[in-house]
Amino acid sequence: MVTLAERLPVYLDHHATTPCDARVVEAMVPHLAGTFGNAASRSHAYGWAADAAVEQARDRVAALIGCTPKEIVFTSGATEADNLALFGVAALAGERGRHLVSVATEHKAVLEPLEALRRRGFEVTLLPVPPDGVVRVADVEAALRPDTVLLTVMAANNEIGVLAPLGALGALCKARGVLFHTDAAQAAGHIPLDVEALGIDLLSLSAHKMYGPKGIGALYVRRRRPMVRLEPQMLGGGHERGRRAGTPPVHQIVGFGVAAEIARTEGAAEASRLRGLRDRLLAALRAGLPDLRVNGSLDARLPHNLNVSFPGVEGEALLMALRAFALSSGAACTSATLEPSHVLRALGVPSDLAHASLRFGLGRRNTEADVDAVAVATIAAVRRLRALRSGAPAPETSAPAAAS
Amino acid sequence: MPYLDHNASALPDREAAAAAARWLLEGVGNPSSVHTAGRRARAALERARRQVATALGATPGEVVFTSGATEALHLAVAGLAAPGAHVLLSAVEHPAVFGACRAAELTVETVPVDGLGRVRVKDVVARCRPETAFVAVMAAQNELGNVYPVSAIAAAIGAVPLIVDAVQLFGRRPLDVERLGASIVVVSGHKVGGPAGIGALWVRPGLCLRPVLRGGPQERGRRGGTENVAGAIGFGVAADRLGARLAAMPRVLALREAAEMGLRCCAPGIVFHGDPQDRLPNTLSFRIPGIPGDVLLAALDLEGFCLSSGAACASGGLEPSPVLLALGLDPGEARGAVRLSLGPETEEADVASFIDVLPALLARIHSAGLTEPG
Repeated sequence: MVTLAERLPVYLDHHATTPCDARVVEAMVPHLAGTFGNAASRSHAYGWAADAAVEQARDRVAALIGCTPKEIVFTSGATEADNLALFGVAALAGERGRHLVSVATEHKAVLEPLEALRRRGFEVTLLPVPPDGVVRVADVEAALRPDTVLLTVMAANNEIGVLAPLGALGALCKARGVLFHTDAAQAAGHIPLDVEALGIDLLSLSAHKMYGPKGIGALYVRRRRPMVRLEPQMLGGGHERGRRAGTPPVHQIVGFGVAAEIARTEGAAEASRLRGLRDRLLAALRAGLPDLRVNGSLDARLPHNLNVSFPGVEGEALLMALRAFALSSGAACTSATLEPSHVLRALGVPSDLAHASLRFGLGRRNTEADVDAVAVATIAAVRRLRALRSGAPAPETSAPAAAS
Repeated sequence: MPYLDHNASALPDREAAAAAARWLLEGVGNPSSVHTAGRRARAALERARRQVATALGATPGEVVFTSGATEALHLAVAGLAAPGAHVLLSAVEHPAVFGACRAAELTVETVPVDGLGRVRVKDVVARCRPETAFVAVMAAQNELGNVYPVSAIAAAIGAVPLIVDAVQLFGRRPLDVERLGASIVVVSGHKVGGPAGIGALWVRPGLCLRPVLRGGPQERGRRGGTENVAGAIGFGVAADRLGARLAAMPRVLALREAAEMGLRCCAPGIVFHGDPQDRLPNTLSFRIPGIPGDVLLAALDLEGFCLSSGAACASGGLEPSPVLLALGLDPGEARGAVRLSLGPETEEADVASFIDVLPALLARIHSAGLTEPG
């Protein structure tokens, strides 16, 4: 039996952001506070020390995805990396064509640049997804045309955690001579990614989704077979080999490097632990609420994600009832709006069910006790809300124990 | 190790760094999340915005956080002008402004400067057309320290928006965006003791900006992407402590004057660049005829002195500074330039030891035959 004695909200929203690992912060602090220097200043020792730290971090980030350090461009985050990839490729597309292919369930950091490009005369095909949320390779294959310049498909969805068949998409793109970009903000550090094996040409990364700091990310840009040409979107000083201007934030980059290193060395074991916790959570929820609906494929999915709808309740009320847990109903960036998630709509989830969904994003500090507690609380809250709705007297608030 | 390159990056303010580090260690949420962790992150972000706004004389809703001044300038430039539009830039703007105009495919006309690097109001007005999308004149020049009459320019160009890069002025002279009369003012965190990787722009109320980074409703739809909360917190604390930086400036000015006097004594023939009348109190750009700037910088570095040739972004390159060329220097003269820039932490001993070591360094450069004819 699990008690609900925990007073501090238990953080279960690791797709929105992850807390910085203490080792990350430890590495950042000297650069934040002591060993200062402008990494672009080449004329003095402070600048050199900063430069060396940045290059070590670049090595570490490159190692996480199996590329060479020169292929990593640091940006202010995954949003900027996505913008740089899409606008950067489109600007140099020239004669090759003006057709771009993507999927309806992408993050807004991809969808909004695509919409801007559409207004600039590009043709954009947004593919639907089947109910399991996994984009079909055959659908992509059918959408590619001789004038297709780029395919962009996220590695893992931020709401439902569903994974794309990256290897198959990469091979398809290679065969058709189409560039392949993937937004791997949610996937990197949580599942293995190898840009060579997967045939990826451009890949967006975010540090704060893998226990690094907010405000730093990277774009991987392939240099060989093929060498991807990219029009820089921020110009000024010659930073990042001319691909991204602006004084490099050394402490941020160093933190990102350490986060990448930790993810590379500890990621597999942690993923397997979180998969266990996620499966335990789902089993407990199902035991208490057999009619719940899992949104998206359970097989092709991030190990730490669960997205479920509870028929007959309202999502906002459910979140209110679960105040002891930091949870969300979908993407953080849109959680202030009442619009149903565009991802769940794309899966064909009816809007009342879409409104009744919760996203569980498990992470490093979560324990069995955490998932047991949230299962118990969720079951109790759903039952209570359903009872209120049907006008029946509310059942006792203590729900049956979760599977243990 | 005397650090005399504060225009490249200020020394981190201890409290600002501590506040940022504390959030990195303890902060959890994404400011867009509605749960407690998210609301705490939002509250911390908005507090930082209030602190930066107060330091600028603005209200918080007018302040947009970015990843730094370069991004802020790109947002300002692309936000105000459509491709092909005519824009007017002073010849000595930061490369990020020229870069942003190139990225936005604008038609750039430059306003020349005189031999002292001064921008004349009448030279701006004479080139300003009814269809000019914006004028950009920085508040203070990063290589020379020159301070420009941006208020007078704003008044003279009327309805044409003025973009003011105030990165170097912020914290060195009082700044009040309300009175400045500009449309957009850009500042940077790491030039005032805050962390690198955070900057901001003040946007005049009512001004509509097209976002450059698309992908979310953050920053009132002006800048997509999860906010750098720790960076904003550090910037906020640094902005809160701006008064102490400003209060140190008379002392900084005295140190710079001491450096100038010392240089005149030990390097006869030395030439100073920039406006002797209206200049930041901390900046001193000079060249010593016959002494290549990179050679002197390397010699100084071996002795533990950190200076640079001008803009940090360009140092390491062999191209002469476009700013100095705009003053009418020839490429050889421009390659002789060295920039000394002081900060509130600079001590008398830093400047004194710099002056003490210089004659021996110059003698060594001469005897090693590393001088250039000229």
